[in-house]
Amino acid sequence: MILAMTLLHAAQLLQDSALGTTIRESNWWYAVLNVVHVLALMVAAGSIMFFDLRLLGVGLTRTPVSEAAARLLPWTWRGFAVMALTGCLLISSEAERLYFNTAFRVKVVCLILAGLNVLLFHFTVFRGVAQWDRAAVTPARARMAGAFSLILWVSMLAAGRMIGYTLDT
Amino acid sequence: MNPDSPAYMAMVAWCQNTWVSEFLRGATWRLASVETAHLLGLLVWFGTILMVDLRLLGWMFESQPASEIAGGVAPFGTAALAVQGITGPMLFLATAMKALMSITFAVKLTLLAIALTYHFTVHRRAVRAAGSEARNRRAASVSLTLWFGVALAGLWINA
Repeated sequence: MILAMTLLHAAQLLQDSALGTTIRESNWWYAVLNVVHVLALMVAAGSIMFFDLRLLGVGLTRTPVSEAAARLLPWTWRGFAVMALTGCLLISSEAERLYFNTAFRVKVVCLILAGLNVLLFHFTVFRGVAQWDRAAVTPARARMAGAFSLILWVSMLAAGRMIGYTLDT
Repeated sequence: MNPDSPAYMAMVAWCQNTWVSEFLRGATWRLASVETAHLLGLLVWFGTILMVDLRLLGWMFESQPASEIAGGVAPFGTAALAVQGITGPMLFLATAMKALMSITFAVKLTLLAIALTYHFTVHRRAVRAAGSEARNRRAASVSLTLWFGVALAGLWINA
């Protein structure tokens, strides 16, 4: 309860800050940040998607998993860095309204779950990648990580799209 | 066609009021779902472009020929194009009036036509025949620029 109130208070401060106010009151800034956010998503999702498909054994099956990870995931992080930056700036412009928005909450929960999925994958099954590097069919836990990642990214996308429809009302 | 002519206005009105248009505008979730599907199709299509073009640029998967990477991602690309071919016209019909008045929409369609033409001619030849490195890099750079442009214009319609 105290945490929730602190969070709401922080959101109010953020929305009223000079940065948040500037972005909210400038149609141009808001539109540019929105577009850059999705362009970065294209790079992040476009790269992690094919890593996930490799884990699932339905794409790039002739590429070793470690090579796919080494070559694709840096692009995911580059895209994600831009998404995080533009995302935070977009949040700052309407933090208080977003705090009460269900679609935004769903998106944040999916983001946290996706982060946990990455951590779990890298610190468990991926450590033994040498044993299944060239296998078309990866271990069940690796396939699960790939499937969760895809599902969570699609959920984030859908929730993100819904924010635009539910925030104005 | 002259935008002020009655025939043009009639065409705009017709596009705006088909049963698809009215169905989609009938509920927020319908339009939102089609938009989400269109965005998802864009992500998958762009993902396949990214895989092939990063390979053509020589930035990854050097041990495999570009044609093998392209062949591997082709089914996803085809599926994505099919989704875009259905959801794109649906979104157009739902917002025809807005689309036909917007310069950005015209820019997007023009870029799309150029990007698709380039993709199935110059780009495809670069992927299939192992040409010079310079040619591959040029094809990849042009392709990435064109598709980023299509996406940028598309996103700007609603921004």
